[in-house]
Amino acid sequence: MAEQNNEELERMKEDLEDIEMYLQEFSAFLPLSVCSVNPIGVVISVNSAFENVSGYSALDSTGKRVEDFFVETEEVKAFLGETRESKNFTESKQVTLLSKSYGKRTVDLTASRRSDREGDFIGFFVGINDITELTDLQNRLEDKVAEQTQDLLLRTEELERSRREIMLALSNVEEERNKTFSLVMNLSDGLVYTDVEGNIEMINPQAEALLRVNHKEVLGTAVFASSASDRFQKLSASLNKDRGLEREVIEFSEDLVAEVSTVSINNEKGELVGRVIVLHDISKDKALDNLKVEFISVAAHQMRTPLAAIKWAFEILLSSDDEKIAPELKRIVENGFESTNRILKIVNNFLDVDAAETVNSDYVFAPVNVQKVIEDVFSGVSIAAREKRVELLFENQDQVLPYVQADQERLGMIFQNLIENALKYTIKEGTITVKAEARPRDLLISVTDEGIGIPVQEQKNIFSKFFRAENAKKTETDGNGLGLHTTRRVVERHGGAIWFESVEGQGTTFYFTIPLYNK
Amino acid sequence: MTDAFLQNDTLFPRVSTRENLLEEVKKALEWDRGHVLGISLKNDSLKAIEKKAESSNAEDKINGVFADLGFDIHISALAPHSWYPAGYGPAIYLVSAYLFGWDKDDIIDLGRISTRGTMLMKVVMRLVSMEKTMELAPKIWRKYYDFGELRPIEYSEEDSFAVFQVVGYDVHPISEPYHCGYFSGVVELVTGSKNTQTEAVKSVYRGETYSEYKISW
Repeated sequence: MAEQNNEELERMKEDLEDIEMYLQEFSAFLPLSVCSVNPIGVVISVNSAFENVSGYSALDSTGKRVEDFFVETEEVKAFLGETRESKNFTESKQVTLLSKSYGKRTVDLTASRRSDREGDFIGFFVGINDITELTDLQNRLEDKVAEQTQDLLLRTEELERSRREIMLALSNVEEERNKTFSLVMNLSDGLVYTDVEGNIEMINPQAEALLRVNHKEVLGTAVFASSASDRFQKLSASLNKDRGLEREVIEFSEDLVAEVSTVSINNEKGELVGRVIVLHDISKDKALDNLKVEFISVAAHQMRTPLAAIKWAFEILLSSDDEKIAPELKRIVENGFESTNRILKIVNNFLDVDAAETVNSDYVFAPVNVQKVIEDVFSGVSIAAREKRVELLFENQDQVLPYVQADQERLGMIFQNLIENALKYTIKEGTITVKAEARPRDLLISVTDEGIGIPVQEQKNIFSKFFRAENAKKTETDGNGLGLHTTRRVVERHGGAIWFESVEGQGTTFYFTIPLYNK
Repeated sequence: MTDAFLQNDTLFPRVSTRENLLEEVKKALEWDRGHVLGISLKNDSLKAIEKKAESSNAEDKINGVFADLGFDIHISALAPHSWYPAGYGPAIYLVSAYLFGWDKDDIIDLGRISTRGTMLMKVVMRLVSMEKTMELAPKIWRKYYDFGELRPIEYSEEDSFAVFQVVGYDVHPISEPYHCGYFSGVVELVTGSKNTQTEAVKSVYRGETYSEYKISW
């Protein structure tokens, strides 16, 4: 019997050891970190997972207060207090574990109440689930979402700002468009806007009136081939398909003379997007000019004969024997002779204007060698140029230029006026450059100086009769304001055009065209 | 936390030489009036030695010293629920003191650390309160030893002290500091106190008929 009891005890002992080994292995395998805690919160035992996550060995952990493993000590104590009162598992709580190996780890804390056979409270099982990676991932995701939300907000703000700016810009554009439209519609000059192909896109009321057309008839039609009215036909005939025209005075009818110019419209890239044809009614100016010309013509003719007689009288006196005239009187006679000569020169200038503006005056058109004309003019002004240390330069000296169809004497006058002006308004030193460029239908000639230039506000009047710019008056008191006016009339009588570019204080370039001689 | 040990420190065994050690181990192993459960030696004490010595191969070293002294004792061969001569425990403490140069305070500390790994004791005593511990103390003694007795004498929650008597245990003087530390460790687990002291107010090694320990916290 005693032997049976011993065998039974031995078997029970082996079973107990097997169970203990099983429990130890199970505890070691269990991935959840678990510790056993006594009723006052002291850790009694821990499993391997707890040792790993806390970084404390079982011996180090045992005897420590469980809340000391966490940052939130009071919260953990309160949590265990709730667990003690609860019959079931309490909900998990997220706290921060102070791991000896890994530092602060975010963990889910769970706890269950333990009781003995009699139901008396004997402590807790506390579980720790390391959710640091999960929390970090969640935080990163939240940060990312927050960042993207912020980015989205910024972009939305930017878009809203852009929208407001665009609306403002549109409003400004609309306002500008209205202003421009109003300006165009009320402009005293006629305006015709065409696209690149020359199709009319806009015509203002003044242009309608000047050309005697209705916008409904001409919008969308080609400006180069319009026959909407006689006047429009004249305009079309004058326009060049490639360049329009630079500037031309067109006599549309007896009561309408207009200065017509074309302005190219380019976009930001410099590409041609359209043209504006400007019709400036100069009928009144023309009539006034005619009156002036008539007056000048009459006055000049009336004055030339008496002046010639006076000059003749002075010449007689001066050519007589010196002894018969007292020296003092002779000096007076000489002064009178010089003054009479100057007056005669002015009168002759007036008569040149008259001749230039008289359509049927005696122009003799023939093939003319421009190089010869330029050389003659250079020769005539060379002394004065040397005195002012001004260099005269003809860039096409060694080229063969085509002949032009011109009145040689009056072509010489054009060069004479432009080069004399250039010399007159170059204060001292500098270069006067004459350049010629043969084009399909004409010769484009430029005269460039490094003189005083023409003030911007006075440029529009520079071809007007008797007009002299303020800075020109100060520089050169002698002048009648007829030179450029006469020059333009002569150029236009040749079928050419004249214009200029000038920067005050830097110089001026005059351009003019003369038709080529057509065999 | 200085546990008072023997009134006369000279009773702490000298184990600084192999000869002294051999003499003391012999004394321990020659004691033959009772047994100790294997779990106390293999699990509790050995884990505490490794922890205190900060040595993962303490077991091999101890086995080596036993072999050198001529004793056929292999800790790894001990079964947790088998009974072994009661002198095995003190013999292991003596070899550890020799190996790692420990003094009395180190042995007290060893006893305290041993309570951290004692699964059986934790399960049986539950460590829920000092009252319960006092009640279960004799039972846990009998779980570990097949001789002697642990008697709860006095407990004051108000004054934070408890008195136990150990009767019939006089295996070797080195057991006394070990028991001091052990009692302190148990009370710390139960009360959460960090300032526990155990004093051997009576000692069989000083000629008295039983040992009496007063634990204060």
